[in-house]
Amino acid sequence: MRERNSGGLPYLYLAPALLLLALLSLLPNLYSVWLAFTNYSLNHYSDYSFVGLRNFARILQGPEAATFGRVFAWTVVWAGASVLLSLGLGLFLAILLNNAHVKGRTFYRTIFILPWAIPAFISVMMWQGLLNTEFGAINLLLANLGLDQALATIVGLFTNEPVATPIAWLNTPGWSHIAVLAVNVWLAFPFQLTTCLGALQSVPSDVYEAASVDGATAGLQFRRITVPLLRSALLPVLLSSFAFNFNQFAAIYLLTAGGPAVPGSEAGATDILITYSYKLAFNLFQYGMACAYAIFIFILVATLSGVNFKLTGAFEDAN
Amino acid sequence: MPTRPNPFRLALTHLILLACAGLTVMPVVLVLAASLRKGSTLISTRLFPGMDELSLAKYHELLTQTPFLTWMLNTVIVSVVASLIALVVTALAGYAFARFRFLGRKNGLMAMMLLQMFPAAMAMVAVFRLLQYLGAATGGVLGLNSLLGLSLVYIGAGIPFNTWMIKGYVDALPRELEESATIDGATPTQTFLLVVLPLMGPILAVVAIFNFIAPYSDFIFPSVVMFEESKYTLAVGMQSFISGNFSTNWTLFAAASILGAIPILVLFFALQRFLVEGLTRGALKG
Repeated sequence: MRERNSGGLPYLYLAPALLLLALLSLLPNLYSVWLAFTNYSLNHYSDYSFVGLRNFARILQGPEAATFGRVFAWTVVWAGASVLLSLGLGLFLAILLNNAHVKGRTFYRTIFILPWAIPAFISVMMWQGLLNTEFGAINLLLANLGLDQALATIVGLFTNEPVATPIAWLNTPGWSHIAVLAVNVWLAFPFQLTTCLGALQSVPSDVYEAASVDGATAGLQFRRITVPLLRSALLPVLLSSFAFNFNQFAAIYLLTAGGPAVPGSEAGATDILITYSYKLAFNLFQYGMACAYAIFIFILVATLSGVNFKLTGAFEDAN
Repeated sequence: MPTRPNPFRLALTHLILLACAGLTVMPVVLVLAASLRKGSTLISTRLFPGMDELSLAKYHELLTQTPFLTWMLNTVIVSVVASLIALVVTALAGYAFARFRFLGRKNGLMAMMLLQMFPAAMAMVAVFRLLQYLGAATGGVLGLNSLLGLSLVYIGAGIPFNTWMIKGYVDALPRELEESATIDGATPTQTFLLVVLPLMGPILAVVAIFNFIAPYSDFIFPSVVMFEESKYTLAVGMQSFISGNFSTNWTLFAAASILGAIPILVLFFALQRFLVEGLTRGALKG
């Protein structure tokens, strides 16, 4: 590569981006780290001051600790289950679609990509209406098909109490967890499907042909060629999707607003860290605490991204 | 790969695909059906309106008696401003990282990658405070309740990713044209503007669309920053339809969903190939 002595010109080209980055990304982030160490809140709106680690101590011990533990655990379950379910569905459909004998593959792909092409806030609000207990189309549909009683009976076998119909999708702790996950899988599987299909199609077909000639069965080909290939291609996707779902604010907030309420806690049954941080800031006006929560989110996301960068060798691209 | 398809497996495949396709379109079809009703409520024992009930009344009401068009316009203004500014600054930065060698280049690229890890929503309190300050300092031009202020929020968050995408694209462009332009006496800036920029068309289109879709689809920042109904974006405005009483506004909301989704739907499908490549390429590198 021919080195060019470019003098000050590159800095001139970079200046606008760096200036905006410093003002609009670095500064707010540093400022929010600083606020996490203050008592900035409605009670200390203009006279807030540095309080050291007090917010973090409050989160990790004392009455708030139980809420933090519960919200944190659900955040991990939410992100993990969302990724595994949407990846599982996406991979399954990709394998079905990666078969040259299946006609109408373009048609199916166009349909399956639809949830990705609609702004998420619109889809989630649509689902909120469709899942409405008394008036929602989902319960109406289940009732018309005679499935609501059956579903309630089956679920009732696993819970100790009988399940009421029409099903209160968004207003009972158990159903609301199922509902937010189901909606998020609907939102997320098109991306996973597209990624899996890309990975599957990146194997030249002569690899499979050679394996066939050597007498490998379809099952063996899948285990020895497809799975190893997918594992290396999908691990980074898995990690970044996990990090993305950690902060999947709209899917929770616009569906249940974090609810239903949990007695004795400000955080509802489906609140994840980011929605709870939002509530702390803009409903309860505890800005300092909200920022302290955000730091926990950052540590988790940064760890995941760090692992991801290492895996993909992204840092080497900087050369 | 089996050479001859098993008809039973093929039929089963189609059955599963059709069932999944049905579940995928179901919510959209139900909402589309609701938007074509005359009545205003969610209450109905029939899922689909009969032919005699079909009407565009809700669309008419939406466009004439609600601020829907104002919200749509606000959303488009915020998204276009964010997209254009992001485009100009990241085109310059991405090109500089790809073609120039200078002190701090590698660290700059690393710093961009690290900044990308900060979730934008993490800084929502800080963004709120900063816009408050900016509003006081600029007499409201850039502060809370300002469309321009909101678009600034998105520009910062997208710069690292977009710069990396553009750098990657320019890295892959052949250098011969630039070299011959230099030999012919073009200045570096002329080379960039007249030779490279036209070649960057596809990636610039992708960046522009990404940076249009992201603000358009965001709920969290406008909900924090916009207080006046006349300054709402679609996300916040549509939520105000349903946050009061969903059952009385359901059909109106349904019409808003359809109209609100169309611009992004059209962009997405028109440019699906580029967008999907751009989004998944990085992920598939490993």
